[in-house]
Amino acid sequence: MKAPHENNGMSRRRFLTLAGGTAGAATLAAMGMAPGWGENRAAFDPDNMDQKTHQTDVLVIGGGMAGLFAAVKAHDAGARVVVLSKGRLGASGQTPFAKGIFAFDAREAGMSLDAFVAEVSRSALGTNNPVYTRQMAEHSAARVAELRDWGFFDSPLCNKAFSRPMEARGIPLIERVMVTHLIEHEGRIAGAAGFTLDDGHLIQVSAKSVVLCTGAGGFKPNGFPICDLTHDGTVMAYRIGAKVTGKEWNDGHPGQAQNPAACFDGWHGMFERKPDVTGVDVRHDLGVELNYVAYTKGAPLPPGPPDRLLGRLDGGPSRPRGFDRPHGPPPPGGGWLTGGPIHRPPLPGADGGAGGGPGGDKGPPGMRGAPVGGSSAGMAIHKSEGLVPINDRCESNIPGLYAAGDALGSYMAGAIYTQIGSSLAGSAVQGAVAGEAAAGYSRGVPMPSVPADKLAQVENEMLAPLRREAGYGPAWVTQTLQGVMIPNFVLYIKKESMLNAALAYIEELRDHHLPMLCAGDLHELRLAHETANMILSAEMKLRASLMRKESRCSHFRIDYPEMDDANWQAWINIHQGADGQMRLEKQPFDRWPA
Amino acid sequence: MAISSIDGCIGCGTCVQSCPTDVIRMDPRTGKAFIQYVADCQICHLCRMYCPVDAISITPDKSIPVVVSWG
Amino acid sequence: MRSDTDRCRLIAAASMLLLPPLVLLTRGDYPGRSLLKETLSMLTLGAFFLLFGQFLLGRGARFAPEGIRFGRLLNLHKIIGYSVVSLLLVHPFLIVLPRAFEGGVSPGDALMQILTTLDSLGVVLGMVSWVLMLVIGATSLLRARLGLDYRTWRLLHALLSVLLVVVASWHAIELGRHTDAAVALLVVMLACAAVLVVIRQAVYDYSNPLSQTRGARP
Ligand SMILES: Cc1cc2nc3c(=O)[nH]c(=O)nc-3n(C[C@H](O)[C@H](O)[C@H](O)COP(=O)(O)OP(=O)(O)OC[C@H]3O[C@@H](n4cnc5c(N)ncnc54)[C@H](O)[C@@H]3O)c2cc1C
Ligand code: SF4
Ligand code: SF4
Repeated sequence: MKAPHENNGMSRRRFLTLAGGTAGAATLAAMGMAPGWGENRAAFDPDNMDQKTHQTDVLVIGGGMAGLFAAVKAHDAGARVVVLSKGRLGASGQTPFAKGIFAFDAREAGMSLDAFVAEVSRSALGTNNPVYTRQMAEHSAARVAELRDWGFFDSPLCNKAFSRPMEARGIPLIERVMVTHLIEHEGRIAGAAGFTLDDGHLIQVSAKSVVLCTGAGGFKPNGFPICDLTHDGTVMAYRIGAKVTGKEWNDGHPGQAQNPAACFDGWHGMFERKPDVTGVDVRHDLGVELNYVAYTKGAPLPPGPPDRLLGRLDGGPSRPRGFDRPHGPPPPGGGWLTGGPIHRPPLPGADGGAGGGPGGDKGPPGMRGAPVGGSSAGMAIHKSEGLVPINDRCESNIPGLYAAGDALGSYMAGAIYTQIGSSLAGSAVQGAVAGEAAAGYSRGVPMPSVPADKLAQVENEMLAPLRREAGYGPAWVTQTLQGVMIPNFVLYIKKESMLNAALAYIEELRDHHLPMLCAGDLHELRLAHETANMILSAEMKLRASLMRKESRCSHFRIDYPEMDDANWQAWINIHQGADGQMRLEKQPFDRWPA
Repeated sequence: MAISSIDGCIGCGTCVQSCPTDVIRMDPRTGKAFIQYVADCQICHLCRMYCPVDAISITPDKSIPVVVSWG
Repeated sequence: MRSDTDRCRLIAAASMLLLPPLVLLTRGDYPGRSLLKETLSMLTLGAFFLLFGQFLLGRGARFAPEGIRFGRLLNLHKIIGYSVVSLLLVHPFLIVLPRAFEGGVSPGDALMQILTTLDSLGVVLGMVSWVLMLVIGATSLLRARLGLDYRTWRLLHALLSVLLVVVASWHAIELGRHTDAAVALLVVMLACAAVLVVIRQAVYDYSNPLSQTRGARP
């Protein structure tokens, strides 16, 4: 590894990885990149980067649906707001790809709010937090109306619509900032730090409160447009003592066998569509049924509606009564809450597995071609993973630290997709709630002053990969992690022995490779931090999956295939113990954290 | 190979901003966008959809780095 | 009979100018685009290359193939001139037009983005060319109404045309989607040829004062 200031733009390591064979070299030539490629020199010295400091009441991190509403509502509640985002407003994270947003209208649905919440709870097998389910539905129409005013529904691209309310309020927005650290001081949040991807400035924001809107994440999977999301917010918060939940759940979106990495093509033009509004339609979708079929029957899975072709299978994930078939109409009355028995559905249903978008019916029309698994590997059901809320105000266990949207483990939908379009709506609603709450909180506290040595330590950790003379490239470590975590028999169809085996690998990456991650330029510095975050996320996923010795919703243990209501009416929360070890604990479904 | 070429770029920088995975950068010499980190392209087409002159071409296939023992 | 030969020669001359770029295009390894986009590109490219031909069809016509009458040539010069200029004047709009039929940034927003990218040399050159074309077109159409006498106009027309061909070529080399090294070389050569034709005409006029009163009038 060359020192960064000698780096000629294309690091040697990257070159070796890409050009590792003649095939690689031919690819480079075919890409016509010989002279221009790698021209963007990391023409900066990590010991001499510009420092930019900011002060604000509320710092919003993330520029998706949740970040937008957090910023706007915190501003409207009278707070000074600054927004930092790794990517562009409305053009990063998952928000750009979601096309259906839910708005609850009791009259149109012919269903009361209470009935809606009860229906979601029934499908979610108790894994949802009804307080957040209700909050989402209750405020959804108001958020949708605001979005309509801003022009959200007029374009397939949301940057312009999102910029309108931000510009009208003059809210400072700094894009292309990789936030690497949350800063805690004297037991409460004090701000955050990161670096800009283009000019390599160190950004340090002192804030009375922080709203994490950093979305969810994955293992940079092929086939789902979430390669910019690596659970950064969750891991940063975990490192300063926040509680994290939901790591055992899985999003079960399949990809397609042909060109599995082509997200755009896999969604058949959906990304080019304008968003629209969805109404009530409660389901039990996109768990790991398809993965189970592939595990037991082998590949390839025939294309088309899987249930027709595959028939019944014994075992496998179970469905709540009345949700026997994906997208099937819910039965009147009854349900798991009143003790209705569980039985196994035909697997997997019509357009359930391969069809609908996450929380949306805007999915690709039946993703043609044989389905393959792991397209969203590393991501859980939206809103089931993230920071543990201690109340209905999106507050975490660290005073002043809030989270919203996919970054908050609100269990709004439960541990399975239950309502079309509610993911986007939930991010909007929670963003607004968290923004207002953070503004209120910051009124009552003084501006924190973080000691210089703490800031110096943060800076050191942030830039360490640039300073390492030798080590491991983030791309290689990521590839290795993917090889360990993404196989169907590790991530989706779980059992004790494989989870332990994978954990041994991940611990090795954590203890030996993570401390030696290195970077030749700012892009790689970002990758290095993302890789470190993925390693911790993988560990959380494995430990939580090992702990939950039952199967429920999108978590399936082939060695514990039944739902165990006696022991597992509980979520799993994870935090860092005083000794630095990962600690897991149960939180009963019907209670806030202790 | 994912994002594959940029032809007719006017150098507005929109695609650099709009790429979630930081694949594209501006070349300070030519003032135009170029594909710098193609291995990280997630084939989402946001850059293409945001480009005002539709300069960006993307193919659905992806070249994956070869497997090596360390790197 | 006579006019048939004229026509043949003219068509031959025109295709001389249009063929090379078309050949280059089919030969080149350009990513496939929709029919609408390719058609618009071809039209624009064709119009651009016809611009060079205008120098041969103007008073430079004395260097054009023998046996073609100046009057016909000038007529052709006018027809081509007005159509090419109209097409190139809408060229910025044609670039963003396909956006109306596909998902992505809207044509209006795309145009705004282009027009506000003023730190791009190519964009500024394009704007200058656009204004030059507008002025050339307008002064030709409205020469009489503007009260320009023929010789002043002729000088103005020649000067603006030379300026245009330089600025527009630069613009095309700087920004052209289809401009690779070969196309750039062709454009440079054609631009040089065009400028040479005008210089030669000027030298001829200077050394041959009679010609200054004798020029064919449009
Ligand atoms: C293909 C696809 C289709 C979908 N379809 C639907 C649908 O039809 N209906 C529906 O309801 N939902 C759908 N979803 C889900 C929905 O998009 C998400 O639940 C929702 O957009 C999440 O919004 P968010 O603001 O919470 O997070 P995101 O939109 O993911 O935003 C996260 C933000 O945080 C920033 N960020 C991350 N890390 C950092 C860091 N370290 N430093 C600084 N900034 C950082 C990112 O740049 C980004 O701006 C879909 C998702 C996908 C991928
Ligand atoms: S958006 Fe298009 S025109 Fe603008 S810099 Fe990128 S490729 Fe060039
Ligand atoms: S397709 Fe997506 S990931 Fe690839 S360069 Fe374009 S914006 Fe970036």
